Order: sequence, then C-alpha cells, then structure tokens
Amino acid sequence: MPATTEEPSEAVASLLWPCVRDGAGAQGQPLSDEAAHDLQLAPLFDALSRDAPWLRPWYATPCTDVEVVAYRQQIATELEREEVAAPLATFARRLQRVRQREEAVQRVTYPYVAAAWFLAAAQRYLHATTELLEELEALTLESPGLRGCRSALRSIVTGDRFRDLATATGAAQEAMEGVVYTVRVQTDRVTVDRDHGEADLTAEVAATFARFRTGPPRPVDRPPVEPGVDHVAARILELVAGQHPEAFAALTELHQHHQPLLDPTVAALAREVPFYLAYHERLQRIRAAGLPLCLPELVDQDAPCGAEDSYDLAVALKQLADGNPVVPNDWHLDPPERVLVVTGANQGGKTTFARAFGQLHHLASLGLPVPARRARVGLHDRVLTHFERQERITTLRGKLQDELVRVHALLEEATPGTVAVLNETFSSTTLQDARELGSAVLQRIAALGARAVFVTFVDELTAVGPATVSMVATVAPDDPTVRTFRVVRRPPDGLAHAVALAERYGLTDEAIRQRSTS
Amino acid sequence: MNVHLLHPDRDLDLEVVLPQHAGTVSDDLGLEVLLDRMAEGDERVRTACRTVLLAGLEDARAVRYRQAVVADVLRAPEVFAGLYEVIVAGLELAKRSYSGLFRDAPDALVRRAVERLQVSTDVLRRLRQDSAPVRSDLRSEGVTRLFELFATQLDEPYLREVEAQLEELTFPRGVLFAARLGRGAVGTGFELKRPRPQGWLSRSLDRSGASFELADRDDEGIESLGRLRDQALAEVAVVLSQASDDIEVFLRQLRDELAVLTGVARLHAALTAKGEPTCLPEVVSAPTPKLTARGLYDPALSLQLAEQVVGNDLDADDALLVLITGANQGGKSTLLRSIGTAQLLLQAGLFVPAATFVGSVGGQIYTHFGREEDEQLRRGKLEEELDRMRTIVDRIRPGDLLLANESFAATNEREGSELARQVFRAHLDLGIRVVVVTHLYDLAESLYRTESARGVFLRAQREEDGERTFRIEPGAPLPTSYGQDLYRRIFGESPSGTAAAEDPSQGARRAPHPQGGA
Repeated sequence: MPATTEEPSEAVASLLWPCVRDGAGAQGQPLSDEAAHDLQLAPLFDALSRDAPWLRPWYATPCTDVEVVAYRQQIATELEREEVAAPLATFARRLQRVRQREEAVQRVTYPYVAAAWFLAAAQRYLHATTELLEELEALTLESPGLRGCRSALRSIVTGDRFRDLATATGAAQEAMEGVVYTVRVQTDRVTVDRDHGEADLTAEVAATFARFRTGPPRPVDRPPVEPGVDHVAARILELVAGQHPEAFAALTELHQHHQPLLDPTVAALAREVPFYLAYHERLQRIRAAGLPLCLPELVDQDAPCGAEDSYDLAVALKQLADGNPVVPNDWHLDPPERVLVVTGANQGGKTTFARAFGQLHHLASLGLPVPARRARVGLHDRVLTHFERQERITTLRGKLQDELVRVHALLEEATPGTVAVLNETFSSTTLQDARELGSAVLQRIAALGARAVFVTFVDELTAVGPATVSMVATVAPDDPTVRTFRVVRRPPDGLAHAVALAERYGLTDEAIRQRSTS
Repeated sequence: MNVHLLHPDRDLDLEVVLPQHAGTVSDDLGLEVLLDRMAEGDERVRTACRTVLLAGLEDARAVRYRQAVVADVLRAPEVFAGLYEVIVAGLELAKRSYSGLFRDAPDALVRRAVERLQVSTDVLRRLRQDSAPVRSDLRSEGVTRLFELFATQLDEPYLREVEAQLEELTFPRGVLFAARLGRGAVGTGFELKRPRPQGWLSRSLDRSGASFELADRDDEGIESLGRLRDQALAEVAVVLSQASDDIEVFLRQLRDELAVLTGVARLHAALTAKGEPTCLPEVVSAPTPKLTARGLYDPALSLQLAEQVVGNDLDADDALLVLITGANQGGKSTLLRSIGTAQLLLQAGLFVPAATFVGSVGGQIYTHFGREEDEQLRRGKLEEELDRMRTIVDRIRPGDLLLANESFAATNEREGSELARQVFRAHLDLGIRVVVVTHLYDLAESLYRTESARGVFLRAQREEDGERTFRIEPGAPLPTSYGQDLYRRIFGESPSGTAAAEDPSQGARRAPHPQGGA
C-alpha cells in the first residue's frame, strides 16, 4: 500500500540524520579509544563493526541534537519488528557483496572477465534493490526515517538511470546465456571452438552401464568453481569472445556505460542499516535472558535524570555467556545533584556500576536501546573517563603524578555537557591525599555542572556538597562476606562492614581478648 | 540386473539382523561343525552360510525356490565353485584401484573407475562363458534366469562396446567439453563430449577453432588446465564410479550367494562321502506341523565321527509335543539336535540329514538346553535357566518351535518337573511346538497322561543286555533312567546289586490323536 502523504520523492534519505547528510552540528566529541576501553564499549563496537568498519565512528560519536536522537529512536523502534528488519538485513548483506564484487572487479586486469563480474554485480544490485522496495511497499511504516528511505528508493527504482541499467543488464545476461563453446584440452594445448554437436560422452557412458543400476543415480558433487581468474581462463574467454562477438558487445556496453554501478543513496542506505541491525543482533542474548532494554526519555542536561535496572552491557554479555546472573541497579540525580559517589565492598560491583552509567549515556546519545528498564537522560557532548592505570609506575609519587596529570587534562576538557566516569581515582595514595584531592576534583566537577560518577574508598567524599549523592555497594545483611553487587543510594557504611567481617572470623577486639585470657 | 539365487524376489541380505537367540541355537545345535565343513577356511563362506542357516525362509514357496537352486548346484557343483572363484579373484584385483582418500579429483576418479571397470568386464565375460556349457542342463528358476541374464545382458557385442568406451575414457585425443558462461563468465554447465571419430587432425583443420599452447614451465597454466579437466570430468567421474560400484555390488551379491551355495555343496559332498543320506525335504503346507522322517541323524555328530551314525525314524505329523525319554547317553539329545538341525536346514531351503523327510515351514526355532552336570553351580544355574526361559517366553510366538533339553534339571525333580510342566503346557496351549528331552519322570509321566492327544512319546531303547542301541522308538516314559546301565558298564556291577527294572512300556504306543485332525 504505497502511502501518498510521504516526503517528496527526491528527498535525500538517511537512516542516521533526519535532514543533513553529514550530521554537521549535531555531533559531540567522539568517544576516545581510552574511554571506549574504560567503559568496555570498545569490544562491543569492534564486534559490531568487524565486517563493516565504517560503523565504528558512528558508534563512537554521540549526537547532541534531541531531534536526531529521536529520529533514530523511531527507526530503532520500528526495526524491532522482524518483518521490517528482515528485508533490510537481507538488502544490506546483498549490497555488501555487491560492493565487494565491485571492488574485486577494479583489480581484474582481463577486460572480459571484469565486464562479466560487473554484470554479476549489476544483477545482484538490481535484484536486492527492487526486492527491498517491494517488501517495504507491503509494510505500514511509522518512522519518518524509514518512510523517507522507502520514498527515496521508490524514485530511484522508477528512475531512468536504474531502468537503463536493468535493460542493459538483461540484454547482456541474455547474450551471455546464449553462448555455448567447446574446449579441447590436450597436454599443453587448448583449442576453443563453437559447439559442433559432438555426442555427450557422459550420457553414452551412463546408458551403457544403466543395466547395472538398481537405485537412483548418485548426485554429482562438482568441484567448486574458483571465482578467481587465471591467464588460461582469460585466454579461453578471449577466444570465445572472438567467436561470439555480438554477445560480448552487449557485455562490454554494460560495463563501459553504467559506471558507477550503485546509486549513492542506495549505497548509503545499505551502509546505515547495520548500524541498527548489528546492534540489535548483538543484544539478542540479552533479550533472550530477559534483561531489560529501553529507549530512554530525552530531557535537558540540567533536568532530573536516572535509570531503573541499569546494568553493564559488557559484563552482562559475559555473565550470560558464563551462565551467571546479572545484577541491575537504580540511580537518579535530582538537581542540584550531579555526581554519584560510590563507596562500599571491594569487588562489590562499584566499577560495573560506574561503567553502566557511562554506557547508558553514550548509547542513549546514539539513539539506540540502552541496558536499563527505564531511563531518562540528557544528552551530553562528550564522555570522559579516568580509570586507574596499570602502568609500570612503581613509586607512589610517580603514580599520583600521573593520575593528577590525567585528571587535570580531564577537567580541562570537561564542559557542562560532559559525562565523567572516575573510577578509584587516587586510590593508591594516602587517605589524606585521596580525601583532599578527591574533594577538590568533585568540587570542580560540581561547579561545572557536569554529570559524573566517582568511585572511591573515601567515605567523606560522599558529602562534599549538595551536588554529590552517596551510593554504596552492599553485602548481604546476614553475611558480610557475601557480595550482592547491589549498589544502593544511602550513606556510606563506614566501618560496619569491617566489624562484621571481624566478628565472623572471631577477630574482634573482644574475641581476641577473650581468647588470650582463657 | 539382480542375482536372486536364494530368494525368488530379492537378493540375499547378509546384513540382516539375526534373531537375538540365534547364537544360542547355533551353539546348542553344534552348527559350527557344519559351518567349518562348509567354509573350508573361507570366512566369507562361513559368514554367509551362518546367516542363511539362522535366518529361515518365510514360507514353503521360498523354500521350494531355493531347494530347486540347491538341486541345480548339486548337479554341477564345480561350475558354481568356479564362478565363485572368478568373482573373488576379480573383486580382489579391482580393490587395488580403490583410493584410500575420501575425496579425489575427478581426473583420478575417472582413471581408477576405468581400471576397475576393465577388471569387472573380464569377470562378467567369464561369468557368461563359464556358465554357458551347463546352461541347458539346469532347471531351477533361479539358476536358469541368472544364466539367461549372463547370456543376453553380457553378450560379446555389449562387452566389446563397454571396452571401446573405457578406451575412449583414457582420452587419447584429449578431453573435449562444451560449456556455457556462468556468473563472471566462469565456465559452467560442463558437458563432456566424444571427439569426432576421424580424430583431432581433421578437427584442427576446421577453421572455426582457435588454439593456443602453454609456454614452457607454465605451472600455473598447467594447474588451470587441470582444474578445467576436473570440471569437465566431474559428472562422468560420478557416472563411472557409480557404474563400477554398481557392477561390483552385483558381483559382490553374486559372490555372496555363490558362497552360500558353495558351502552347501561342500557340506553335501562331505556327508555323501561318508555314506550318510541326504534329501531335499518335501515341504507340506498344512495348518498343523508335519514331521515324518526316515533315517534322521545329527550331521554335526556324524562329521565328528569316523563311522556312520544311527539314524532314527520319526512320525510326528500334527504333534505339538514330542517328548523324548529313556536311557542316559541313549541318543536323546542327538535326536533332539537332529530334529532341530533338520528343521533349520529345511527352513533354510537346503537338504536335510535324512533319507526321507516330510515337514512344514514353521516360525523361529528356540533352544533351551540345561546342563545338569554342573552340580556345583546348581542354585545359580536354576536362576540362570529360569532367566533364559523368561527371555524365550518374552519372544516366542505361536508357530515357533522350542527345543528343550533337560530343562530345569538343575533343581530337584519335583520342583523341576513343576516348573517345566507349567512352561511347556503354556507353550502347547499357545500353539508352540515343543520337543522335550527330559529325565524328569514326574514331568514326563504327567505330560504322557495329559498331553497324549497332541503329543508323541519316544524312548531311548536298550537291548536286553543293557547295551544302548541309540535307536529311539515310541515308548512311554519309565520311572527310572538307565544310569545303572552306565554304572554297570563302568563298575562291572550294578549299583546295590539289584537287577535292572523291568520295562513296563513294551509295545509302547504312539499317542492316539483324533483321526484326520477332526
């Protein structure tokens, strides 16, 4: 059912950008490799763009424009429908092969071979594009992005250029199909000829031995045809061409007069589809495990924000693969709150919590589903991270210096629109240094108005000012040695945890004394 | 082309799953002795004969078909043995052309298939030539049809044509093929052609062809030509491999069926050489089992003795129960085995160890042989016996035959008799034929009283002087066995000095049963 109220058919369509082709002015600062590593998004993005390297910068670059993100969110929503996603996935895969073929053709030095591969690529391209349009026409689409693409596709497919290509391709194909030739291979001599109707030797042999046959004939397992071309094959083809000039004229015509093969809009579409589908595919295991995913509500940067059942996507993928449970957490920041300060049990999920915070913001800014049940976030212009490094800096002084240099750089770069993730910053220095330096850094961040998560062992940093919120990685109430990986909003435990552990092992002051006096 | 020597409508299947109890039957009847004689060291003959003996035929028609073939084989055993040797040698030769590799290039496949076919063709010619002289002397449907097949399907003109084609497939004039242009102008749809008979010279003069030659040491070009050859030969390679497989399947089938017949002829020769009678039994189709024999003996026993064995006469038409009692070592077990072996051979469509034999085709044959000598293991043995019997009861069906030799002798007479009585009566009531050898007087006497209507009662005889005659004649069970005979012979005096009991069954009777089955 072709819609009549769609965009003008000449519209330049993109699945990433509603109006502007290149997204100029709507993009923030790309996630640095370091930050992508710290947030554990790097392995995810690497996996997503393994066969599609052009996706990598798209995944790295946040959008700062609510309109763009909303445009993408609508597309992402619509692509949740299998009947919408499937034809686009097929199309993207086919076009990928066309592009590879096209590139391969460029490297072929034998003109007839190049032309023949061009013909094959043209057939794939025509088929993939026409079929996609047909399938999209049968769907009711809601998102402006997909409607615009369908509309653009329609005008391309019905346009002169596409039709001429189809005609020339058909003519060349028909001509090629009509060519029958014979080859005689002797020791080192090859003779190419037209078919003179010599008897089919295989059929003769089959007939001779038919009387011994009691079952059905065995299927022929042919050796695979090598797509590569060597000089012998090329030479044979030249001789064949010489004996079938008309057929090869049609082929040459196609190759010479229909370049470049791909319509740029179609090519762009094929590249953009995997941005959504690769991500969707990658998250299949998450969905299957029943973990929530959502498209976040977009609010202003200084508005209240938060997430329910937020979790670290990288850890979740690994935990699910290992058969372990994933523990999600809630957080919220109500102005003037800007910074989550996380303390609590060692190995209790603090780092994971901090990463989830950063991941959620970055993925939200891409317009893709985020790992949470519900989320409300403001867009950011950059994500900055500071994680403890395992460099070979052996002196405390050297290590602290390095940390300070990096934190300084972070603060220099930070803007009010920044999302910062600081993990165990100053954790290897003295408590006094950590308290003082941490406090200073937190105040700088608070003053900027940037949103941040700050993981520390220093309880006092949880109450630096109205901008900080205390979050605690908890242990089981009845057994302090059991970590729950739950990070909850409450004042720091202080020494409670240590006391509980001591009691459990009979190492409290009282217990030790009793023992020694008994 | 089908062999169908041993079955009117199908090939002998050596892969047939023998009944689970076949091994026991074989052991209890001493079939290995017969198989040794049949095989004469040829394991293939042994295996084939074993299968044929233990997998009985389904009905009288199938039995008569095979009997006729066996009769032909016994008329000209040297011809059949000769055919068997020719095939065995040919298949052995062909095996040398097999490859150890799982997958091979078509070029190599063709070469090997041609070699195998050349060997097979020689064998096929020998089949026709060697069978021709006796063709007119033989009468059975199976042999006549097969030898007719040799004469008409493997005639000289046909075999010459095969040889000419095999010569063509060594490609003395090079490999000629037609092809079309597939995707990327790569050759496809390869069709192997037979070059014009006038040879390459005239063809090369044809101006429509164009040739080129590979440069010296153009290894890449030679590889390329090899690939082309493989493409061109892929189909014919399969056709040829299949043809050679087909012919070898036929030859192997013929070899296996001839192996059986060769074994049968050898066994016949061995028995005849000893002067033992054999006959092809008359097979009667009737609602009740038929069993009338003259001079019935145990061939396994005979083959192990230098002298001829004593045959027995048996009139057990329509009897469901045959109960054999009498003197120890008086030939009871031998008679039981004779009956079982004869029935097995009858159902296998072979000759039987008797001067005359009238019988009917029944179902499966089961054996339950007790081993009373195993006194020390008495208790465990009873349980083992009961277990074996339960297994039989689980499987045995109306129409089957149970041969019971001293069943339940492992316990005391009262207990053993009661167990056996229950079991045998149930079998009889189910319409299962039971042949019982027992020294359990309680059992024998009660069966004699209650089952006379459907039973035949036989007794191992002794002369007045106590010498056993090994002849078994109709007779009612006696309350004592002839252990004292043995005792006397071995000790030179009777135990406790008493005289042997008088025989109350002089003039023993055949159990009366309703005349004409009314």
